[in-house]
Amino acid sequence: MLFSSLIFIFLFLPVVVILYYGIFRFSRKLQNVFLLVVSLGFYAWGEPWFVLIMIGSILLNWIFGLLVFQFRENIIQARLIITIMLLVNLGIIFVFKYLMFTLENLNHFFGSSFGVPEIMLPIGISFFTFQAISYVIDVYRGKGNPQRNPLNVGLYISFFPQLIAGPIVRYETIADQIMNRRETWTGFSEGSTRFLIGFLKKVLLANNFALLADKAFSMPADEISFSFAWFGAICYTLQIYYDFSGYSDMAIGLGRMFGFRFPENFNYPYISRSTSEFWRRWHISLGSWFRDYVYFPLGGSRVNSRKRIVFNLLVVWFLTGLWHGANWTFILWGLLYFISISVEKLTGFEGLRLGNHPFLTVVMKHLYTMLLVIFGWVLFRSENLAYAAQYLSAMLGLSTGSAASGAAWVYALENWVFLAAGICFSMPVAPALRRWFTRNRRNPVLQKMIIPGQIAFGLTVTGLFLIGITYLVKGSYNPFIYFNF
Amino acid sequence: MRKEKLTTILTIAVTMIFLVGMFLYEDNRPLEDFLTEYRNTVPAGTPVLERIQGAIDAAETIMIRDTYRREDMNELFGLTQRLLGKSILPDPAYGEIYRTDFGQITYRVEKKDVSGAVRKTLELKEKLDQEGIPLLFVLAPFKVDGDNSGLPPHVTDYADANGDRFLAEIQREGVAVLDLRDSLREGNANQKDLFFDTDHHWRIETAFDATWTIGRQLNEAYGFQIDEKLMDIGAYGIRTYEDFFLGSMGRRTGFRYAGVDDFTYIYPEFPTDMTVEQIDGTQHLITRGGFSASMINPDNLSPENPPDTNRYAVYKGDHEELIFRNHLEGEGKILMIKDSFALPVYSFLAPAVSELRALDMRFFKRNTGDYAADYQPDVVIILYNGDCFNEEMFDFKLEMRTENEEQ
Repeated sequence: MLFSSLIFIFLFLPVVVILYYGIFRFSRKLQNVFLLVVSLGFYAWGEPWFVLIMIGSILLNWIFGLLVFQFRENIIQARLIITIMLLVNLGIIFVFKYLMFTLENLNHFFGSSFGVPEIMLPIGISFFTFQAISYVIDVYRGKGNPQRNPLNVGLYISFFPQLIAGPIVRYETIADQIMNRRETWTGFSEGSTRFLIGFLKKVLLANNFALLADKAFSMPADEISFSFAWFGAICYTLQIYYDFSGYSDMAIGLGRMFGFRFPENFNYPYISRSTSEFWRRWHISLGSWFRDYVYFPLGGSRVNSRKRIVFNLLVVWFLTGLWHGANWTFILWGLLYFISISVEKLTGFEGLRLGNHPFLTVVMKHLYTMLLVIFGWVLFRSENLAYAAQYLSAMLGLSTGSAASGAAWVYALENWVFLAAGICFSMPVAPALRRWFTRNRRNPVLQKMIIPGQIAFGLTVTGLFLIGITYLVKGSYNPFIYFNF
Repeated sequence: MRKEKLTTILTIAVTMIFLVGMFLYEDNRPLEDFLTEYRNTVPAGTPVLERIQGAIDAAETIMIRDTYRREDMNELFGLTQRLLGKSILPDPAYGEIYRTDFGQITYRVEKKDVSGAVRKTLELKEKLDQEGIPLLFVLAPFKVDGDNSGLPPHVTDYADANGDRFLAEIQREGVAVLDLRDSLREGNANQKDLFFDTDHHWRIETAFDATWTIGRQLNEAYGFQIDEKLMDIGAYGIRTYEDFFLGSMGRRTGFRYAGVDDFTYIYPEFPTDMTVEQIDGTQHLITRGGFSASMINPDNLSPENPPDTNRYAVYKGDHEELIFRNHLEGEGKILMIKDSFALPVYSFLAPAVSELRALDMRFFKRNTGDYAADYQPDVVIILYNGDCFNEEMFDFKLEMRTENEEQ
């Protein structure tokens, strides 16, 4: 089920909230069981039989958690359990996500003739499997107690707000909240407002950018003009940000409505001045997951040789690329960041200054980062490497397509409101306004503006929500990009 | 009160209105609709998991169909697009629809392979030639003029190009052609004059002119003797209803975006006495009387009905087979294979000949060649508009065996 669907907004969510705060409010255990049941239903909505995989994953990892806790003093036994747990979880992902890709490539590169089965990808498998792994490892590391009740593990892994596209919530973050969270009216209203903001990002911005990006990326790459190639790439850059950060806002907001506090997943990534910084601001929960569960265990940056640092980075970025999908485009996209982040790390790029020109330094670094990010998204969006190469050629003016076409200009004019809003809100405008307001809160004029401002905010968000609903009624573009991962 | 609390209260109110409204609003019966949809889409004996998936799909469908005040939401969508100054709108069916420089709403026609349509037309001609029945292909213009489309500069409409290729090929093979695009677009007439702003059909006045272009051709080349007086607009009554019609394109965007068309109803003022047989599968409806009693659907012109009523269908249409028998003067029999552009055309033409039959290939399930052979018309006319080149419209079912052959 999509958060941005009429059935979720006008049926599923209101009914779940009413029951959660109604008949189940007297018992935390009942509330948790109820949330687990509706979460499994939420997941089954897309493809009913995949919920069996989810339930299997919950039960297996619940057992692994108990076992690793019992044998945690014996390092060999504990590591054996962890190894088996990783083999099982990664094996599930491998079969559903990478088996076809592996067989196709074996056949292609080694001339073998393995039959390639048609396997459907369970929605969000990479997200919930990473959460399951986090559960067992955090128990092993003593960062949370194991759950005796499998229903609580089920709730942690399958809780519907973050089930399908994150944020990847680590067990240590949420272990205590499963039984001891506190729901308040303030938290509920902050959560629902956050959900609405995410909804607007998704429906009004991401979906409109998606239509424009799809126009460009559905053209034969050798026919696309220089200007439209850039236009399409920029629209996709905006689409993926608002699509994914919108989903994260909705997930975080929904969690808050039920008393949970999830970690932030985005922090204005497009203002970054290096690709290293970009990844500290983009999909934060995935970056920190790989950092804590892969990079640090490999030794991280605290190793003796530069070669080892580079190797560790190579492993992390190869896996990061692969995590996003079974396609060479994703692997190359991950390796692009491996190269840039390795170079930045080894050259101390983030501390570099262009002489005595701080402003120019900022501009140049920002330009470099955004160019790399945009080129990266072209790789990410392309069906295959050949298409990506042709598309990038068009962006570099090397293709046979014309230099300029009317299409980019027409669509830019048509959608200038969305483009302006998209670019504006990808920068920290709201936090800056909040800071300014806090600094000047004693100003008597501002004091008088507080109540009207709050009313204007409420009416604007509700009005935009209604407009968002009209897009859903019209059946406009809707799928979330990260559902595929 | 903090802004989040106010926002939440407002949103809860909106959500509850939609939730309750879905069940209580006018004719909404979401539970019954869900069961009907489920039974229609999931046949008995379907495996359990597919049943569940079917139920989910049915629930999603009904949720959209029974949204509280769905039409108003469509209007709000259109109003928003208008305020944003948009002339390209996303549309689930057409991909995009456009507001042209003429202020009209339309979609664009893709470049199409017309070879299948050419082949099928020639097969029909061969069959008719065996019976000695002449075939005339009449091409009506699509809403967008290829030379002056009024579409955004990067958007190309291929309706005219498709039509040009098709006509050239069938003409080369000896099929008689009447290209209405030339006659209707000559002079200063642009698509605003010829077509409704909010509908993809031509205006009734345009259809009237087209009818008598065809009528003159029938007199000149096919031995008909249609009275010139019947081709004069003076012999007809004209009633114009202002702000009366929201056409198929306008219904997609809402009238706040598209505006509303005037609708002109043209009807004979000379005496008419017609029997009309309307055949849809096993349903057979027969009416007899003057033009207004037998040949139109008066409800479609009722001012009590909302503007999104299909006014254009005041002239009978979208039936498998229509038979118009003229009990007054008139000579010659016409078999017309037609799309919806023909509705007013055969309505004006039928009182001028002895009999006219109209077949719609989207619904007609029999062998068209055999039908013509049995009927023996003086001419077979195929009247299609420029966006007709799909398999369904040219599936004349010539390979189907007739009931006699089967026996």
